Amino acid sequence: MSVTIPPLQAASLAQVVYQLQDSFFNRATIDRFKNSWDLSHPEAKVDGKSGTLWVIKKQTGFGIVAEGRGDQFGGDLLILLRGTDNTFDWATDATAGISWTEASDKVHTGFYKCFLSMKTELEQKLSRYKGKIRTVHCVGHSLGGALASLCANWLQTSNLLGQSKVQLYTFGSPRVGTEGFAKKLTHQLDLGTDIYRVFHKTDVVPMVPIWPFFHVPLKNHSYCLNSPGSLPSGEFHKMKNYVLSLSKSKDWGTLVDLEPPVSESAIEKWLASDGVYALTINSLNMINSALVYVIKKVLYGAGVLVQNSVGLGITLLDQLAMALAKGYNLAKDTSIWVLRLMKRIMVALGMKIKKDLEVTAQLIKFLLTALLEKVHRMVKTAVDFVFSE
Amino acid sequence: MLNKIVPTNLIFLSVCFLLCLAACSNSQGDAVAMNKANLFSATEGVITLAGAPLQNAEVIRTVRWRDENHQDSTATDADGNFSFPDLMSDRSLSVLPSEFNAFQKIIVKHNNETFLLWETVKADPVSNGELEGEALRFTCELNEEPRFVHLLLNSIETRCHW
Repeated sequence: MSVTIPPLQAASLAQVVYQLQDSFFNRATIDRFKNSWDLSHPEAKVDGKSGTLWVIKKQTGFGIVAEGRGDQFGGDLLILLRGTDNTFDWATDATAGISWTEASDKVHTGFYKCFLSMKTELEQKLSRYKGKIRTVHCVGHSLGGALASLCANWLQTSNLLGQSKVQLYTFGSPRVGTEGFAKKLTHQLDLGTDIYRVFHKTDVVPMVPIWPFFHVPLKNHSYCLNSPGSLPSGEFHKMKNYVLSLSKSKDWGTLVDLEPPVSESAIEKWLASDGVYALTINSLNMINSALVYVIKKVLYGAGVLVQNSVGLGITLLDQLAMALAKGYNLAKDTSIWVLRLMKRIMVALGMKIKKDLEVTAQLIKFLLTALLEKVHRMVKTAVDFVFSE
Repeated sequence: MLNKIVPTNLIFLSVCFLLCLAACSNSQGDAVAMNKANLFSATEGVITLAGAPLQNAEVIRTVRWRDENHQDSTATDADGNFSFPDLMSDRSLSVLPSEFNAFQKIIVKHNNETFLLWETVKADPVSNGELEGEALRFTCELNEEPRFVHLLLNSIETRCHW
């Protein structure tokens, strides 16, 4: 029977992956996990035995493969992943788009490039375990969470390990793939019950990238931990705070604060309202949900086409603005929602809304740009506040 | 007809959000300039060998954080006492995507032998983060074998008690 890594241990593993020094963990760290995982390097004998830790070191990230130990995890495999500063460069590359995986899943190019840099070596290291592993546990924090998600998807689609069960644990992970990818991975991992996505309510990283990227598991079943305040926080992205928040959580069943779903009716109600609101985590989540909702209506309801024209001098924001403008002009049942979205963004920006507001691609682009700039300033303020205390 | 071309270019907003983060993490330098990381908290200790104070022994403290390497040393007095002040980083902290991890070690040299007193990875940049709030006041016996102590954030190998 498959055993799940408990919340605190999963968080501690996601934390110690940052504490690797020249391919070695220190003796105290190895001792901490010795009853569950063998984190000792083959060159460092512990109790007369050679370790089994495998380390993949790339400029863009690290991968660690360790064998399970003891009654609980004997016969299991642990894959710990983490990104580096370089991964962030890729993630923030404005020319990055969507890449197709070998299994034709559509994922974020930056994260996928990083995963690909480790994949060949990972494949070599894992192939010897085919048919011998009960469960593979993929664990990662932040960008490592994105890599762990891609790894879990790859293991499920490649048949590299045969029939091994795959479990995924992420902490403060950004979104990784499109809705199709999220749907597929959710389905693959026991309809999402083998996915343990943990995030602090105010952690800023899980909020990005926004549409067309979606979290896994696709619907609910994510573990939203409480964190103070209502503004995006850099501090509560840190692994240290995830460990502290989970310090008293013995098993996943005790974590009852699952991510609250945002219903379509709530989105429609929010879009239809004209009240003033502040840009908080809640309203940012609502803006994201509303954007997804309206874009879906425009793209799939009105059949608006967005061409891939990178390199033709048209920016991505131009394209989004043009798509929304087309949706506004094409059909009445989409135009109302584009108009309402723009009005809600204007409220967020503190702008006065004219009665005869004319929605053009130019206006949409202006509003989206201004909104993003405002979010930028807000995130900066939040982070500055944390460090000026 | 519903066009099924994937709107790959509409990731712009996503990228913008990430750019926000990147810009923020870069621009935080100024904001946190006064907020230097504590790489090794002030430490006081008494070293004994078979119960007797170890006199005039060289105690060496090392710490590595990112590309910063620090080393300082002191000597025990007639009662076996030694101390180190807080060791602060040269640079300020950044927020994303870095995780704070300072690799610490204290050793003592005696009769051409080296004894490990303390080794851990400090995961919190605040003062006394090593012991999660408790001050580093040690009594260390060289005849003791090093043991492992596991706190919530830190795992420590040490010959010392506190």
